[in-house]
Amino acid sequence: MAEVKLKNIRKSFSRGAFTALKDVSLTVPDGTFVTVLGPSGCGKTTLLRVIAGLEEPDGGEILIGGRKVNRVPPSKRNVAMVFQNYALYPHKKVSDNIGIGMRLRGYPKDEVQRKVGDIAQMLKIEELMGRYPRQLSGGQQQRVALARALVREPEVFLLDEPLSNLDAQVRDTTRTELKKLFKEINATVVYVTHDQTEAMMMSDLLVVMEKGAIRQIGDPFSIYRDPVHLFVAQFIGTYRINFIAGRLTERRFISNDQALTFDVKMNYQGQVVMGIRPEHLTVGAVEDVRLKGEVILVEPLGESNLISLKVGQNELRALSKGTGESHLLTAASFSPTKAYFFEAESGIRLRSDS
Amino acid sequence: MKKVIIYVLLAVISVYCLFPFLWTILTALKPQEHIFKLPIRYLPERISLENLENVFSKRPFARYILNSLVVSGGATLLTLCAASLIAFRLKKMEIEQSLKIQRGLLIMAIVPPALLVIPVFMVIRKLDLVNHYLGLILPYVALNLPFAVWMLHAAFRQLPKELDEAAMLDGFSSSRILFGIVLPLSRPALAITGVLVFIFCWNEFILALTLMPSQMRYTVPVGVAMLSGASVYEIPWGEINAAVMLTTVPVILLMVFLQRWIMEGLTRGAVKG
Repeated sequence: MAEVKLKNIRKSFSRGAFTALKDVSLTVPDGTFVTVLGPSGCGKTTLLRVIAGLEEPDGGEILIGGRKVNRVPPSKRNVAMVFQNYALYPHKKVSDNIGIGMRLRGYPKDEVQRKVGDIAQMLKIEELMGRYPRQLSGGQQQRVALARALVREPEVFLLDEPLSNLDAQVRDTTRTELKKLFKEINATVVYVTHDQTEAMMMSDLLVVMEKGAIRQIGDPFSIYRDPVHLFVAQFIGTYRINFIAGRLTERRFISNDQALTFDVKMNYQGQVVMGIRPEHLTVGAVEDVRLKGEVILVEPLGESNLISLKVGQNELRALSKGTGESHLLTAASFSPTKAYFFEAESGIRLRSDS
Repeated sequence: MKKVIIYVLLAVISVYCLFPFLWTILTALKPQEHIFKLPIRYLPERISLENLENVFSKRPFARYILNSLVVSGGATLLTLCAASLIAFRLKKMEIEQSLKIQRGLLIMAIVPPALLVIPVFMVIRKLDLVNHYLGLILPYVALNLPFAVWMLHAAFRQLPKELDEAAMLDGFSSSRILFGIVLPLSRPALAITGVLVFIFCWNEFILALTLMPSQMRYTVPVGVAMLSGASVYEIPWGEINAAVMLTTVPVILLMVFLQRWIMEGLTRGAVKG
């Protein structure tokens, strides 16, 4: 296993018309499971392909295990990749699909066979070895693709949305299995996904990307609790965070529609966006900052309800055990410590001075 | 009712297309003196192989067939090899550049072959390849290359690019990706392209006539055209038809042989792979 280090990677397509990566630097420590998370088109797959050697960066350095690999071809980088569509060779049997990489690297036939057998046993796909990929279900294809990556014992595993083509149930179990498997062999994994649940559950380290730039790197919990950028706050969280545009003046927040105002411990003056997560907005006047709004929608989620309130010009959602009735005026409240402030222009998080 | 109409239409089209061919076969099997007999008899009164025998005995027709097979087969193989290399490279290129080259190929394909006869003849004479198989194979390859590249590039493009990339990571060399993955998966396109190129070469007349003027180098279409009777005023209809019938046999055999692959191509994409 090895550490992966990216230094100031830049990459653009169509002769500079589209920039996929702007000066990306990232260190993936040895033996960690790192997830790169972002909306489609944010450059996360390009990042993975740059590490694999399938894309040549316009600038910057790629180091795998301390070795600079910019000029090293993909097959010599000792990385393995699992593609979103698995990319199994349709005309080869499962056993050949898994073993061909080792055969081409000159391992003797019986050793390859033994190794393929071991991996098949580990992933419980022994009975599929004689079949062709088209005779497999999506989940089985996914396992074969994984086996093809594992069998070579690469230094780094690169996974490009490997679960997105599976149906929900299989995805759920596979997710858990994947995490266990990679923990067991203590693998260095770079995992790309747009699914934040997947990202939160699986990773040691989470990298949030937007528009070709890394917005935040951290463990899943700290990214959820302490986003440094408006985009991160908005992207992470099962229920979309509420934003209210307003101004900070004289240590006070006033929303643009004047419906909400409260004191803050911040000297910043100017336009800001205030964010409060639905799970921190409570129905009922129990916390310090209180507001009143008309209930416009109640979405039951089982244990709790997602209640949409019309407060001034804004629509806020509260995740709450309490229930509400449509068209009734209801009180809601939150603690000011749970509110985030972002500079309106740049989206950068503003910290309270303590 | 709708079905009936469709079958009637299909029958009409089949007769329209196949009747000339049927007439060729029937004429070929009639004895010489019955061909122009009036009133017309559609079916031969007795089947005679006299015309077929004459085709082979009076001229080296077997040799013509051999010449045609060598030239068409060689040209087809060479075209497929060259075209798959070019198409594979096109697939890896940046899209704008690849489009430019494809546009160039299309323009080349527009030039009518008849225009090229004289310049090609001069080149082949300079190369000292007149009356040589290669002298005909090379122009055929050149003429068919744009079309073949188009066909194969379209087929290669349908393969997901992740397949190439997975292979690159697995340690395949470029040529192994082409011969081990791309070509086996493009078999239907290879078969169709091969058949069409083969038929073109098999039927080609003007270049064959110009570049292989010696009788022992005649290809089948030239040989058929050169069939003549004892006198200038006699046209040996029976023998001509027998020769034409023989000419189509290899093409039909080829189609039968490759049918499985071609059908695979026609039905591909019908079901989710």
